[in-house]
Amino acid sequence: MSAARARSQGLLRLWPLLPALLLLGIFMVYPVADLLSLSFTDQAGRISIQNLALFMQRPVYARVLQSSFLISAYTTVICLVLAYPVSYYLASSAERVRSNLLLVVVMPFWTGFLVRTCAWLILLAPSGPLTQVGVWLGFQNVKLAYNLTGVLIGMSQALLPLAVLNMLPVMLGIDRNLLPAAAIMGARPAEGFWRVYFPLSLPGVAASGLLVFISALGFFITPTILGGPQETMIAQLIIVQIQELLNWRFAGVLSLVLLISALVVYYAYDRILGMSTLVGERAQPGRSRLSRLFDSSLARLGAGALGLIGRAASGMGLVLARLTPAPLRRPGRALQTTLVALILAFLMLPTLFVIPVSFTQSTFLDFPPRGLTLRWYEEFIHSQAWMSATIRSLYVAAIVAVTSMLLGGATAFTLARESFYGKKLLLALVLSPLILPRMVIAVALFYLAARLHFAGTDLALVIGHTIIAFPFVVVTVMVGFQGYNRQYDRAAAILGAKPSRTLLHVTLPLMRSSLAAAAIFAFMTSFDDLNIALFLTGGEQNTLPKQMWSAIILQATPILGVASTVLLILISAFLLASEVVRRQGVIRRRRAGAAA
Amino acid sequence: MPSEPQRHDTTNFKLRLTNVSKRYGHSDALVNANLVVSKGECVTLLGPSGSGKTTLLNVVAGLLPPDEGEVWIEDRLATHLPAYERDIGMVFQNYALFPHLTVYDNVAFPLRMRRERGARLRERVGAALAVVSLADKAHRMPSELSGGQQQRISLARALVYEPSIILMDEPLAALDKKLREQLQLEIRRIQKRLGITMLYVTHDQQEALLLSDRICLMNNARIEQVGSPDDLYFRPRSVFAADFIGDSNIFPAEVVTMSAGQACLRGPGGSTLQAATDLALKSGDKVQVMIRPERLRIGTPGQATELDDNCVPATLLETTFLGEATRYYASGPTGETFVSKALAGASSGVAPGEPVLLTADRDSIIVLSPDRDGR
Repeated sequence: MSAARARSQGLLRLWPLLPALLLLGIFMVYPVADLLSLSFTDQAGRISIQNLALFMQRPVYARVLQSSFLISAYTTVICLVLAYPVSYYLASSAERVRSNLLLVVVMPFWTGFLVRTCAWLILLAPSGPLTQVGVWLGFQNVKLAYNLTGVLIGMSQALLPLAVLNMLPVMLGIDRNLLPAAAIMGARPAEGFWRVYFPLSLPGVAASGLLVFISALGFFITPTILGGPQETMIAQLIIVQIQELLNWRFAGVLSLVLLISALVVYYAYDRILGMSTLVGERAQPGRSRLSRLFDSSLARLGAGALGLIGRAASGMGLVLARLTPAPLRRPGRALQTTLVALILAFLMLPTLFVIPVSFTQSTFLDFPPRGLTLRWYEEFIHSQAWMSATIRSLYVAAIVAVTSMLLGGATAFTLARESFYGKKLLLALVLSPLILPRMVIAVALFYLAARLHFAGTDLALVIGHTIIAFPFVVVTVMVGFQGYNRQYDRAAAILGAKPSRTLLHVTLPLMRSSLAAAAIFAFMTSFDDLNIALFLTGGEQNTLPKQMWSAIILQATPILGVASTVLLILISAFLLASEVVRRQGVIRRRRAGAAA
Repeated sequence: MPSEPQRHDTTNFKLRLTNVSKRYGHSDALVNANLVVSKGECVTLLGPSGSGKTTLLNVVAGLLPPDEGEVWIEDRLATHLPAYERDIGMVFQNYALFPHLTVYDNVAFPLRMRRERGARLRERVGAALAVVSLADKAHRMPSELSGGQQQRISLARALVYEPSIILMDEPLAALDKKLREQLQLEIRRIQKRLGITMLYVTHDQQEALLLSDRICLMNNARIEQVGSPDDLYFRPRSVFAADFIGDSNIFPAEVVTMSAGQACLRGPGGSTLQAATDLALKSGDKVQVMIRPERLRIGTPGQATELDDNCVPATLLETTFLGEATRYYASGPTGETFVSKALAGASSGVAPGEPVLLTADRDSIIVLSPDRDGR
């Protein structure tokens, strides 16, 4: 009996996981499965592969799939090439400089793809300033928008922060003594870099490549706005199927294709390089997953490939070192700084162009602005649609922050403190909204909500946003727990505190800064989202990004500049607030450390 | 400024630093350092953290350019030579083995940088691994080895290319005590056998005493004293040196007379102390005097009189038994605490609270030069 009781108590410990599991089960797992199974039925509901066959037969879909993969691949390469010097520079900077520069990298990441795409629309348009500069420089036929060039510029700028954020931890993990050690043993700077630093940074490059590629695969904003018909991507097809053709079955097929594409890429990555490299662990060929999978020829291929890249890089390094003229051999810090400054300018500056455009007297989004007027601001403030969208965005984000904190906080606390069978699987489920293409989650939830008649309500929006926001909370809080000493809880308990009081007076105050960061994360995720809002809002019930999207599609007036400016200011304010909170946390921890 | 003893062969040096200084902003990291390391010699840089020893090592390694002064490696002026052209070896505290290369490739790295290849490369790597008795681990990854093994690989990697000098930056600090002692002996043995010239940073005085031919004691960004372990232990020049190495009784005294290297001092309670010193002192100077606990004898007042030289009357406070020795704590005439250490077995027969007489031989009484900062 006591054993049975112990077991039931064991399960009772896990009750805080229940709300999150119910949310994911009802509003994500079930609808996604439902949507995907729809692909295998015909109009009458019988099992059939006619929709899949349709996808296979029409060459247009193969073309879209091919261009989706190609655009994603190009974007990945551009992002990696640009992110590498930035990450290297950040990793080798002093901590203070690094956290300031990191803010420059993170800001655009959260400024929303929509605002940034809007800015590119202004800059790259046929009459826009960059095209003009091209013409002025004497290039013929400068065409920067509505083609592959435009899409790649927009997408690589959008995903560059993601690439930096995933490379940086690996580079920071490289022992700082290794390069001096190589130098003392006689390696010139170039040799040291290519033989030691570069091979060790490859896992970070691989992880960045994977995440950028997967994210790019689900893109629709940039190709819609900056691309031509040739650059149609698969997520755009899904939108057309649902919003224009109301063809759920074919949308299901396309979602399945998107999902499978993502999973195949993940699977290949895991097989070849090992997922452990994703969380910033250094790939150690002797000990990693690779050796355990040694019988798998794919893994051997992967290990070989990494080794080969390393060796090729070394060889290349030697050749480069010999070929480079002496003055360039040691690209001084000044040269590096210039390069990194240019890349960061590419990341930061274009977005700022939305601000002057919001003051133009013309009725188009054009730069430079003509005259100076507050007309568009007046129009924005007096427009029922824009104002209600702004207000809805704010309060939905606030509610989502609260629900995500409750769900995510409970989940993270339980996962971090209890150990039980199947914990890894559960964690994978909880984090799956970060990995699944958001478009698929959005379409599936819309399919469910449409049948249950709650699509277009704030409730649907809150549910959808909570699903994509609370995993961020789980990750942030769990990372916070890694630095948390359980001895404090035990000390409180021994001193006579009940678990609830320990939580309230010891654990929560100590976790303050990661909880604050998590809340801001959740808020921003909701505030910035277009995927969920695209389907689950309708009519007058728009959010700000959705309203902007509709405006771009229908008629791009300078009011978009106003909306972008508003979004930019709000998001910057939140980000700066979160950075202040984070730094206070760091300072407090340092003080506590100094006192101890 | 303590001058470099001339008895060292300065024509056969491997490393010579002259007046090397380094500042960070307004704080000195290294002031006017002069040091010569001869061929086959092991010199340790000993000092508390922040005393400048790592700065000095990094200046030698070429990882930090000095603001002033010169660095000579063998007969080359190396002050502004980049690290990769200095031909030195270095062992780091955290080993700094390349995690993506096997043990073999790690040890081969410096040879490959020198364009060594083929059979000769294999032979030299094998020999270096044999020196540290890890030839069987050649094809392992560094992460598969224990901390002690990794540090031995790191040593093999530093000596495989026979650099002119090997720098060691607290190489054993991350290891546990037993392993540390074992590796100290091993490093000493290899260093002697191969005639390696070594500059070794540590904050552990036992390690310094055990490993060094000479110790370079550092404090406050300055070289405090350079000498053999024997010199530093028995003939410290400053209060810092006396205090940092070993246990010591340090107390103030005043010079009464001074003649031909013999000082007559007035010590605690008006006692008279006779000591040999080469310091330039004059009558009336206030100095600090040091006696090692094992050189301070404790006796009953009947054995000598307090009118004799080198005797201080005191009261026994406490006796602690240490196993191989006994330690006595006594309170002197003006309240200062003296520590005396005697081999166990010869009980003094004095109980706490009873009067005792502390005595020391003339050559055990060391007169210290006042510290620069006036302590």
